Amino acid sequence: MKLETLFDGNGQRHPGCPGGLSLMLLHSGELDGVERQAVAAHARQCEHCQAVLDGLEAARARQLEEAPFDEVFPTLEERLEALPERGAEIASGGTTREWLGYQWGRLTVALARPALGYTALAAVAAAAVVLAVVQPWRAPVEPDEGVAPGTRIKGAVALDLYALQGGDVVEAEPGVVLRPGDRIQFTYTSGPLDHLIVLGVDGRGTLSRYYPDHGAGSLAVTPGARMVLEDSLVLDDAPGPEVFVAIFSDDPLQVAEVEVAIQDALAAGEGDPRALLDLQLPPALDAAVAVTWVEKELEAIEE
Amino acid sequence: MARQWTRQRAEELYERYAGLVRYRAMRILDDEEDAREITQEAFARLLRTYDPEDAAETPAALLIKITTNLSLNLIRNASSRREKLRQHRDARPGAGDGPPGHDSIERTELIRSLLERVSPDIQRLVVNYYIDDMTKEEIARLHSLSVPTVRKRLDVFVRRSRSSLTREMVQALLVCLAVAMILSNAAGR
Repeated sequence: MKLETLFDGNGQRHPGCPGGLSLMLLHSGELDGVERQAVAAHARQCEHCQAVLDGLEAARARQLEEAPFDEVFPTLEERLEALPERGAEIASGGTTREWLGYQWGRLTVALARPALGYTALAAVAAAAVVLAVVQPWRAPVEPDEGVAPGTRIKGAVALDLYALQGGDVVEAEPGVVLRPGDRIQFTYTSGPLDHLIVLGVDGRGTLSRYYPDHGAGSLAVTPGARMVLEDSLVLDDAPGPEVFVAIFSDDPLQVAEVEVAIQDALAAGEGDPRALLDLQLPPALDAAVAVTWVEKELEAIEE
Repeated sequence: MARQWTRQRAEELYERYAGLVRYRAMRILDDEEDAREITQEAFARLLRTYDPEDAAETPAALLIKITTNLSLNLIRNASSRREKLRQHRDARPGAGDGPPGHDSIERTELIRSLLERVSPDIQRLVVNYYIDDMTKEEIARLHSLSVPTVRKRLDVFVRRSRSSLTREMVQALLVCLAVAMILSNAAGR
C-alpha cells in the first residue's frame, strides 16, 4: 500500500456502493422499504458488497457456534449485574465502564466545581490581552482540603476562579460575566497529579499560555485541593468568551504538544473556544483536564 | 433497575445481531478471541441500555457504538496490542499475498496504530470511516452530528497522522544514515 493513498477515501468501498452502515443494517434486518431493496439489489451485483454481507453472516455463524446463546446467557446475567446503571451508560453514548471512568473526571469538573478554574489570564503579556499583573493577591482559600492522599482519581481535578470586583473577592461560577479590567485568580485541585499547564483561548481564537509562563514543559505544582496559583490577572478587552484549560499530569508534558491538541479541538469546533468545554485530549498524553470559561461584557470597553 | 427484556427477547437480539458485533470487533481488533469476548460484553451492555418502549436508537445503532467503545478501550489498555497484531498478521494465511483485501488489512492496521494521536470522540469517527467504510453522511446520522463536523474531525485525524508519519519517516531515515556512516567508517579502517 502506498502511504500517500492511505487517507484517500475510505476502505474498499467503491464509488456507487452503499456505505458500510447500510450493509450492516441490511444484514441486521433494520433497513426498510425502498432503501432495503436498493441496497440488496446493489449487493447482488457487487462483489465487494456481497463479500461484506458474507463476512457479516460468517461472523454471526462463528459467534453462534463458539458461544451459543444457551451458554452465553448465564454470563450475560453476571455481566449485567456488574455494569453501571443504565442512565449513566446512555448519557455517555452507549459505552463502557472504562469509558465512563475516562469521562467521569470531566463530569466532575463540570458539575461539582463551584467555580471554574480559569488559570488563563496569567501571563497575559501575550497577544492582544492587555494583562497587567499587579500585586500578588490571594484568594481566600485554604489549601489541601478534600482529596484523600494517594487516591488517584484522574478526572477529579478542578480549576476554580475567584474574581475581585469592586473591592470584593467572589468565587465565580463557570460562564461568569466579567469586564475588561476585572482581576481574577485561580486555584486548582489536582488529586495526586503534580504537573500543570494552563492555556486560554479568547473570543478571537488567540491561544495564550498562562502557566507555566516560560519553558517547554509543565509547571511542577504541589498536589492538593484548592491550591492557589501565584499572581492575579487582569482581563483584557478581547470580546466574547474566554476559555481556560488546565491539564494535569503525573509527568511533565510538552506545552507545544498540548497546544497542538487544543488547536485541533478548536478547529473541530469551527474556531469557537466554547468547543474546548468538551475537550478530550489524546489518551497518549495521559492527562486529566479541567476547563472553565468567562464571558466578557463588551460594554465595559467603552467606559 | 427493572429488567426491560425476557430471555426470549435477549436470545432474539443475540441471534439477530451477533454477526454485526462480531464482524466489527474482528475488523477493529483483528483478534478472534477478543472479538468473541467483546461480542458477549456488548450484548450485556445492550440489554442494560436498550429499552424497546423508549428506543431513541435501534439495537444496531447502539451495538455499533458500544462495540466501538469497547474495542477502543481494549486497544487503549493493551500496550502490547500492536505487537500482538503484527504477530497475528504474519501468521494469517495469505498475508502478503496481495488483493483482494490485502491493502485493506495493511491500511486498517496502520489506522489502528494512529488512533492514539487523537481524542476518543474523533477515534470513534475514524473507526466508522476507515474501518467500517461508512460514508460521512452515515456517520453523521449515527452520531447525530452534522456532516461538516464529521468532515472536520476526520480532517484533524488526517492532519495529525500525516504529521506523525512524516516525523517517523524522517527519524527512520536519520537512523539509516547514521548506520550507513558507522558502517562506512568501519569499512574504511
